[in-house]
Amino acid sequence: MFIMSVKQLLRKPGRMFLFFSLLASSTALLIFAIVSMVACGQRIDIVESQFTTIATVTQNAEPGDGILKAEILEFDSPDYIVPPETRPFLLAYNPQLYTTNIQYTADSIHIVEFSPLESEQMSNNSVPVKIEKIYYNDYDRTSNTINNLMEKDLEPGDIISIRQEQGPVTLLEPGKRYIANLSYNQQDEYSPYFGPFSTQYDAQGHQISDGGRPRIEEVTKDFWLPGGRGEIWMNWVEAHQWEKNTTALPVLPTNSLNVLPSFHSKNAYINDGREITQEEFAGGAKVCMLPQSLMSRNILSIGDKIRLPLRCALYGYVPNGYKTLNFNCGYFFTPLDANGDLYEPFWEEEYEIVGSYKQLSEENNELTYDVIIVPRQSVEATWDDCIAYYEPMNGLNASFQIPNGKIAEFNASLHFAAPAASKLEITYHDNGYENIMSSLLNTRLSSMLLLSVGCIAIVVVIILLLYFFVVREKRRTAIERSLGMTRVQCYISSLSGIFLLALLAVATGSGIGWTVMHTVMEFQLQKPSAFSLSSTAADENDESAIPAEEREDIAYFSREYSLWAENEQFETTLELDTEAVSIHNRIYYATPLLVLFIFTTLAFILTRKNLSIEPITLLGGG
Amino acid sequence: MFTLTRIKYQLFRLPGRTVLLLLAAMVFLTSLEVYLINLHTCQAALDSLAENIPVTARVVNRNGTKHNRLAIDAELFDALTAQNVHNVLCTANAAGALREPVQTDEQFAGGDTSITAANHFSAVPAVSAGTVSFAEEADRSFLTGTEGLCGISEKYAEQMKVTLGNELTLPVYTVHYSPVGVRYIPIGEQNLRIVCTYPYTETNIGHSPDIIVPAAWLRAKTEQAGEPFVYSSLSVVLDDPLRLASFKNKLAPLGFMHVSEGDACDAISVEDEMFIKTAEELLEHLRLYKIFRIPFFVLIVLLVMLTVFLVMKSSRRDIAIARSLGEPKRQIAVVQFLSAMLTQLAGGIVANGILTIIIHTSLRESQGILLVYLLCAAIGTVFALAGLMRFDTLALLGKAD
Repeated sequence: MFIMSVKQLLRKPGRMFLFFSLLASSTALLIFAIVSMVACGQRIDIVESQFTTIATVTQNAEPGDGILKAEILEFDSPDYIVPPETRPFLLAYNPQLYTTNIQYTADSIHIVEFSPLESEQMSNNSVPVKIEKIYYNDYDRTSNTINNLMEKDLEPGDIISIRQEQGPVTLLEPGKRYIANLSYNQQDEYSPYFGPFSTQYDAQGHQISDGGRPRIEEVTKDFWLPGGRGEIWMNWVEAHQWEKNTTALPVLPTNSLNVLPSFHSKNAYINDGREITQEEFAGGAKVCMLPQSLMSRNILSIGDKIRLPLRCALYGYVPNGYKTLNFNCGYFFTPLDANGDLYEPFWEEEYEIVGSYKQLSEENNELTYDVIIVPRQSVEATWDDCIAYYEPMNGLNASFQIPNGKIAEFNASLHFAAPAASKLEITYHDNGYENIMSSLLNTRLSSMLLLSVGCIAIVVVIILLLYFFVVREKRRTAIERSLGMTRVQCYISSLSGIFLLALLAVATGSGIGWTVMHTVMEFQLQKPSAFSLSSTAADENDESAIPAEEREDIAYFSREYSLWAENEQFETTLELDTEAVSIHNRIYYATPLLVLFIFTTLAFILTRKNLSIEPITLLGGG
Repeated sequence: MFTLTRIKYQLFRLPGRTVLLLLAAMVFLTSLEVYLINLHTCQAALDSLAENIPVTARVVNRNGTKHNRLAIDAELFDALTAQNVHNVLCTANAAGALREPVQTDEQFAGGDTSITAANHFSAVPAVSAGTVSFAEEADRSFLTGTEGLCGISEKYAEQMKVTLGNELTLPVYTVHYSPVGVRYIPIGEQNLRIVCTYPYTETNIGHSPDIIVPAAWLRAKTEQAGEPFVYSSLSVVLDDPLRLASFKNKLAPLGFMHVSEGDACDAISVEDEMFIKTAEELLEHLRLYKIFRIPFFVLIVLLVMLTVFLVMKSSRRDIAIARSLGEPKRQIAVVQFLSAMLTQLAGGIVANGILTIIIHTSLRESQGILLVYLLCAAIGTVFALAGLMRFDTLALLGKAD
């Protein structure tokens, strides 16, 4: 029966070859369409994972405006991936950690007690004084300017000149004693600088201290009594001594690396270890990330633990070469609270270093020198009573994350639900996501349409095949029945030949699809490393060599000179590619099996219909 | 005329057959259009990637820790900017002494005036181009020239009691940074005319310089004085990031090194992560579609051939009658060919219109695809007709169905 069935097919070789070609091509097209759609979806997911959309928040405050926090933008929206956060710098003072800011130079600071030799009340007049006691001396001993060459540590008995150039003038009377923070100036004189003052703010951004900045204070009888100004001056001295021996390191608490503008723009990247995971951020794990320069400076490695005693918070402070984290460089903030006491550590914990980061360029960003990143939830104490500086949000220290592609929609919801948003400047950054994804989503739609067409094509081919080789053969079936063949034998006679034809055709189509896709997949596993010189680069010595990007067989870009690729996770990429290969392998088996199943089912139905017709009716021509 | 009548008769006599062929044409054209649009969309996304995700190359020190305060040789600058790049941002540092005299022992220690030479305000982070106030005859392009023009910070203007339009005469020293310190190299007394002012700003990488001058001017003056000129920062944007490999291949021969160890200011860092990861995905997708392009066209031709053959098969008897009446085979074939092509053209136009609405393709693109489809259809129809016309007229007319 089987051989007879095959012979019947061979009697029409043209038609047989035509259907073989069509079925094989349609199967190959269907496999291509399915793999293309699956791959397109995977690629879209990969590309989408490269992009994040954040919004930075800036308050352009006018005089008299209250200070707002980004948290006022919170509303009951499921679209926040990371809710709005205002990030302060929390200053950590650990004498065992050294800063990388080697350009710090000490200001001229001499905290002394003195007695005037003459009376003077006029500003800008120089008064000779005698130094009685020394509490603190410091100046830049490395510079070779004339000023610094003549400056020296003051000692009791020294006679110097003081000129009150700035601030309210204090009457200096002979016979009295005064205490001051003096700074050496260009005319071989000293000017009073800032005495102890506080810059403490409350959590709403209101200054708690009275804002007074004394320069010269008289040492009265009760000056040194408990609770007197003397204690505050000693705290001031201690603060300067502490600052000299222990530099402040900025700790940045955050809920996600994605909301940090430097990481979002890919300017910052992990060069060793790993990122803090979202689970660790959410759970408040005691982990941290350090800049590579700080790790090198302190000879630290991944896995080491560092102690971070946090003393005070600075909101909106932007450290730079001029405004540093050393309070006595400009006195933009002080380590004294409103009562004149030094801030005590409000939180102290050991943090494990899980990763280090570098930056591609030193842009104006939130990752100033030495910034240590920790999960916000890991700081379990509040710092509302230790805020030493407060400026409005500046776009670097306030941001939130939303899903990709939803900027317009989200912005409308935000302004509706949180009217305070109108007082703020909210800038969205998506790294070009909306421009690129619209193209990729079009390709996904096209892939789906192609799949539909592939399905239609294969169904049409199967129907036509069965029409010509089963439906049109009902007379033959009738003859076979009338010659005494059983129903089973008729099934075999009708179907075995075309089943073999279909099997060979779908197998060929699947083979064609596999061969082509396999060739493509091989190139996916040949991504070059950061310093690979040969895999995609044209031969330097062969000027006639085709440049890499013009070669059809290469689809990857050189990672040379790309610092971000130093630790590119090829293992993860290979895992994704391996998973993709296994998905595609299933498609190569499943698709022809599905086609054969449809074919066989329809063939049986049509043959059964043929067999249900009385042979006499067909052969009689009725 | 007779041919046209015959074609009309052929199309409307059996409307079911015509509709079937029309529907088949719509399906085939849809598949072809979807395939080609997919290809073009992907290519368009790739072509626009450079604009959406620019790739910046930045000169850094050998261990990659510094991007400014470098000492980049002028030769390296010339070599890099001669490549296919744009948006070149460079700075060089200098110092001057407008009021404070040079030290008595002639050891210059920085003076009272910090000078930054730049070719664009964007190169100086602490100066925002939007906040600069210009004198009437000047604009921001003065930084690209070689004239002795300058901008000053408002704080410096107040301290030095100078204003727009004033001429400054001061000794200038170019600054050379090195791991061991800073070196000041005198280039003589220079005259500068103030053409703009800007607010004093502090950022986390520095504050506004006292004076900004054109980088080309400072370089010319330095070279006139016979001294070597160095840049303190340099970054460029690639014209065509798709030719990234070509650009990177040229760097080593030009004298640029990889980031490794050391302090020499001749390494390059290319910021191309987003571009590479996105472009590679697009390229893979594109490659897949290009590989299947020819087999796909072959499949369309085969499907058209089969469809026309099967749909026209019922016309065999009519063809046989026409042949028996003496009509030439060629004329019969032409009528059959034209009727089939007209039907497919109609189907193609309808499908084109629907797809234009769904996928928003351009008219030009749609017309191009329709032409490609008609070409495939013509080939398929010719083969189908060749098979269809191969029969014995008498045998067919004599055959009882």
